[in-house]
Parts: sequence; C-alpha cells; structure tokens
Amino acid sequence: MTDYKSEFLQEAREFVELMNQSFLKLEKGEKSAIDEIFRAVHTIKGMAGFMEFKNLEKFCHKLESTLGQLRGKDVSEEVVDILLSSVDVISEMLNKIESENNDDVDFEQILEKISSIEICKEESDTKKLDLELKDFEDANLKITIKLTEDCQMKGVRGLLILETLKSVCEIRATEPEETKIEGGCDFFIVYAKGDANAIEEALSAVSEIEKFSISEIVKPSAQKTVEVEPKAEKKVESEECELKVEKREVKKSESIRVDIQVLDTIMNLIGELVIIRGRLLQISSKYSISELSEAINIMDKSVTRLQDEVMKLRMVKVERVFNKFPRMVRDLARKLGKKVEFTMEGLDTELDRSVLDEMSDPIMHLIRNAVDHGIESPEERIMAGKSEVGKIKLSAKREKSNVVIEIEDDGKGLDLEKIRKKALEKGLIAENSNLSDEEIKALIFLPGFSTKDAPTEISGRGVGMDVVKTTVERLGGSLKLISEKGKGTKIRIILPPTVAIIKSLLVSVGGQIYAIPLSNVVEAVYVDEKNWKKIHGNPFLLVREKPILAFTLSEIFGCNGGNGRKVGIIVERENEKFALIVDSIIDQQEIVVKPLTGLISKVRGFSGVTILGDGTVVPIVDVSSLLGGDRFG
Amino acid sequence: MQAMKGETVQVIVFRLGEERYGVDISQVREIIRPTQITRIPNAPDFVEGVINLRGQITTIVNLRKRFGMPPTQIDNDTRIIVVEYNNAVIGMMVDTVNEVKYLSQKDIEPLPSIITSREEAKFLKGVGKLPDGLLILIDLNKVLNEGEVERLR
Repeated sequence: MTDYKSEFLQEAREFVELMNQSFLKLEKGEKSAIDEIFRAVHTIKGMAGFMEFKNLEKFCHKLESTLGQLRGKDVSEEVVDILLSSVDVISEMLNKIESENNDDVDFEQILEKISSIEICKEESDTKKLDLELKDFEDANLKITIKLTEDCQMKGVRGLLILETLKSVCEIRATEPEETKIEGGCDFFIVYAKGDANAIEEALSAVSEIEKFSISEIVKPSAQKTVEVEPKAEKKVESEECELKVEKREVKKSESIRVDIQVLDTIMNLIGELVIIRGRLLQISSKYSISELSEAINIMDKSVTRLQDEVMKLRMVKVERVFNKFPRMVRDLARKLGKKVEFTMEGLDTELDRSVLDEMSDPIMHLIRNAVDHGIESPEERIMAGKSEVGKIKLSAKREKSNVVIEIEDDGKGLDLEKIRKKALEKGLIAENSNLSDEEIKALIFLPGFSTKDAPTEISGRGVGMDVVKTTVERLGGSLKLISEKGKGTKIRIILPPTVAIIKSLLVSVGGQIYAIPLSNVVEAVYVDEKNWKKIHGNPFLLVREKPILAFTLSEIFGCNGGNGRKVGIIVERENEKFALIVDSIIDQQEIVVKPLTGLISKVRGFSGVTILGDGTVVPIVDVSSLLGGDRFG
Repeated sequence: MQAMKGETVQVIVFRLGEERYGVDISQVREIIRPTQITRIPNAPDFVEGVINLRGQITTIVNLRKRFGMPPTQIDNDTRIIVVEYNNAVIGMMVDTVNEVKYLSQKDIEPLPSIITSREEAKFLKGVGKLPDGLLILIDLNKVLNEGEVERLR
C-alpha cells in the first residue's frame, strides 16, 4: 500500500489545487465549476477509500453530498469561505498522511459549518433524488468495461473511467454500484445516456482497460423497476461481450512522471559531460589528430543537443506556482475588507524549475504587498475617484532570452514622504540627506524596512523586500520598481530562464582563476594612474569621468595580487555600479554551476564552483553577497 | 559508528605531528595524494579549499588547523583521507597515513570527560590500545558537522 502513497498524495494534491481554482471560478458565477469540484472530491474520496484513510474518505463524502446540493445554484462568498476551509482540511489531512501515515485531523467543527449550509438547502435534496431515479430510464447505452489483469489500483482506475464517462455522457446507473467499483472490481457495466462514438473515443484514451463494448439498450416495453432492469440486461451481456471482442491495444500514456531528483542527477551528469567535452577539445587541439578531433566534434554536437534537451525538461510552466495565488489574494482581500480583481497572464511561460521554486516566495510576498499596502480600502478608492474594486495583475512573458515577471496594481502607489520618514526613524538614512525619488524608492529594499505602521499578519512575516531583491539577483536577474503616487505600483522582475549553466568571465586574481557571471558584468576597463583615484581614502575608478567605487579582489580574497596592469570589471548590483579590480581577464566561457555544499555552503561571496576543461576548479563570484553585509553599506 | 558495536573494528591510522590517530575504515572512501587545491576565500580557516576528485567537487579540511595545531607545508608524505559524510564527500588532509589496524572493542577506552570537554579535544571519540602504543580515534561527526562549524564562528 505504501508503494502507492506518494502517487496518491501527488494526485490528491493536484485535485486540491484544482478545487481551489474551481471554487474561485464558482464564486465568480461559473456554475459549471461545481462539477469539476465534485469530480475532484469524488476522486479523492475514492482514492482515500482505496488507501484506507477513513477520515479523509468520510470527510470527502460529506463534502460531496453538500456540493451535490449546491449544483446549479448561486453561491455566496460565505459559503465559498466554508468550502475553501474544507479544502484546507483535506490538504491538512494529506500532509498528515505524508508525515505520520494517518489522517487524524479534527474536522468536526468544519463539518458543522458544512452542515449549516445544508439546512437551508434541504428541500432541494429530495427533489434531486427523485430526478435521478426517473432519469435512469432514459439511458440508451450499455457500456461494459473490463480492466487489465495487472491494473494496479483497480478502484481508482474504475473511478477514473467513470469520471471520463461523465465528461462525455450522463451516467444513469452502474453495476455494481459506484461505491463497489471504487472498492476495486475488474469488470463493471455502466448505463448511460449519450453518444456512443464519443464514449468510444473517450474510453480509448484510458489506459489499463483490457476491453470494453458499447451497446444500445432496447427500451423495455413495459416500465420496470430499477432493480429488475439491470438484471434483465445482464443475461445478454455475457454473449455480447464475446461477440463484440474489440481487440484493442493497451494504450500507453504519452507522458510519464519523473522524480525531480532524477532530473537533477541527469543535469549533473550532463554538466560533467560538458566539462569533459571541454577537456577533450583541449587535448585534441594540443595533439591535432584529425580523426580524434572529428570524433570530438561530433560528440560536441551531441552533448550540446543533449544539454539543450535536458534544459527543456527542467522547464516548467509558471502556472505551477502562480495557480496558488488567486486563492491567496481572495482570502487576503476578504480579511482586509478590500475588493480586488486579480488577473494572471502568460501562465504557460516556462522557467527553469529551480528558478521558479526560488521565486515562489518572493512573488507571493510582492502580491501580498500589493493587496495589503497597494490597494486601498473601497471607501478610499471611491474618494480618490477610482472604481472600488482594485486591480492586481500578475504576468509572465518571454523577452529575448529572459523571462519577465510583472506584478502591477492600481493602488495608491509608494508614498515617498512616508518611506523617507520611516527610513529616518529606523536610522537607515541621515536627517539631512537629500535623496532623489529613485533613491527613496530604493530604500524599501533595505533589510529591516516596512512602511506599514503595524506589521500585519499578511506582509509582516516571511520574506521582506530585501529578500525579494537578493533572491532575484542571486538568480542572475534584476528587479525594477515603477510607482506613481495615487496611480499604482509595478514591479518588473527579469530572470534568466535557467541557472545551471551560465555565461561567465574568467579572471585571474593572485594566481587563481575566478568566474564572474556575465549577467553582472557591464564592461571592463584597464586601470592606470589616470583613472585610479582615492577619494577620502576610498579607491575609485573613473569611467567616462564618473567615479565608481572600486574593490580590489586580491585584498578581499586575502591573497597577493599579481604585478602589472590591472583590469577593472564594472559590475552592477542594485542599480549601482562597482568596479572589481582583477589581475587579468582570461576568457569568456559557458560554465556549469556546481553548488557549494557542506562545510563551505555558507561562504559569503561565492555562489558555487565550476570545473574547467583542464579539470581546474574555479569559484564563481556572487557579486551581490561579495560586496554585501558588513564589508559594505 | 555501526562498526563500533561489532567485535573488532578496522581503523586507518594516520599521523598529525607526534600523535597517532585512527578513523573507522568503513567511513573512508579512499586515500589520495594532494592535487591542485582551489582556495575558497572567506571559507572557515581550516578549509583548505576544494579539489576536483574525478568530477566531484570535494572540500578539503586541514585536520591540523581543525584540531588547532600549527599547519605544516604539504610534502611527499601528506595524504588526503576522503570520507563520505552526510552524503557529501570530504577530504581530510593529514601529515601521513601509516597503516590499517584491527582494534578489538574491548581495547577501546572512552576518554575521560575532563579531556573531551576541552575545546581542542572535542573531536576525539576514544583511545585505542595497541601493542605498540595508544591511538586516538576521531569522531567524524564532530570534525565535519556544519552545525558545529556554525557554532564556532
């Protein structure tokens, strides 16, 4: 049973996600959304039953019956609140199943709330039952289904088939009953009303069915009771089955689930291949054996292609992370008494999985900020002559080789005066400092800054704006804030689609090679007496008459710099330029980032190491943390 | 650690200065000669740097520095004992590796707490009695634990 646990959890969580989305649709008045929710709850119930998680099964059952009564009705926000919190109970149970292998979550309280929805809708309940009974008579098709011998989760598979059928036709009855099918049986009959061709097509797409047949039901002349009818049919069924042996190939599904760790391992192996390729190229150029270099050239092409393909494998749609936001915005807005219309665009934009995962919390924080600090209360909005419903838009799109994520609201914008005051209070700036608007805006990215007077539960926890900024920069991206008082705020995040393989500049400092990610580098200039200045004891490099604060890497790294003409690498960090003084530039190369682990995982100033073609290990400079912290600022 | 429960343990004997130390052979992956070590600036001082061990980035710990002893030059006898710890591969640089010895469980004495409580001795697990003298068994858990390193900073 435990073999299926992870599969069960993964699938159940997908359904939970689906439920969250559908409830929001329902709230917006899409009545059909309830069917999706119904299906999701039903499937989870079936799976829970199979996995013998009784509480979950019971809870889903209860929820399901309540949902049944809500079909085709307008649903109030309060009801959605209750239903959403019941979704939370399900996910709590799933978490518990994962960690403790039981589903002992107290759901009595929420059950009471769910029941309270029921009371007011009771009359409709009986009506619906009547309807179902009558409807059975108009079933025109009989579908017999046999599952394959080796089908592993018969209950779930059976359920899936029923769900599939429900999407193309109306199921009137099944034999055995649906609950028994859920319990797992390898042969069952479904009576339905619908189009035979559509059903055939739908069933062909389901795997693990050994065979199925569809036949027209000949209307019995006299009205029979529900019980008799299926029995009468059953006699014919066995013959039919043999007559209509539809030899059908067991259809294999087109995609498979792969453990993320496996992908990471493959990526690492490719990284190693890339390194060895570099090494071989070096050797072949040294010995110039034409056969060798020919073979290596071919290998070079294959490795490049392989690398591209694996990179593609690692790409996931932003949807994966974005989908949890609508629910969050809704809950937040309700809690704060604000009205928010949240829209998302470019959900199918792809981003490297690790980049997306890292960005999940920062984006969440930015959206929270937008709801909490950005959008005004409905009264304030009306006073300001805006629609009482605030708008927040989250979008993702591909721009050249980068992915751009934007969070935009039409709220009150940044209050520069307030930010200035706050920064003053916190001692982040001096009393008489004369800052430009841009500089004031940049203050919110400083660690320990929050303008809301009382930190709310919403924005006052987890990551701050400084973390958002450093995360983006660590990933090799950049962030821009555009805000206009009274009009709104827009935050634009530009990210590289992937981080595992990056372009970098190889430089030499004190006899050792270091790599600087090219995404940080603006330009490089030679250092001489003319552009090297000391201002108030601090070294500066003059670039086109502009002084840029300089850091000599050999000093920071605590080693002896080489003699001779040095080079200043101009890098950009937080919209500010700095010069890193190195001994020389060696090369520009694509490198594979290997993270630092264990004892050196927290070393400041380096994001990882790479291995060059000749086997040399080279540290990769992390400009953001190298100049951050106590050394600067 | 598992092997400690058995009747005898096999230990790799190495030397730091005048002292002989031992590490459980089951924790050792290989012993190599020092190769080109890439220094990582800002790393803890006992971290010598990283090497490329057949494509795997391996952190090298200078055991002399780790134990608070004065460092020496790398010479012909210097060896790196590569151990696997917490899924990471770490190399411990020692003066020299002598031999492999069998130690019976009854010949291992725990160190008195008066010694292990001292800062420089907390990496030690016990003393092994060999016919030709004593052997100090080191505790990889303490030597290589990241939390331990954090605490030190």
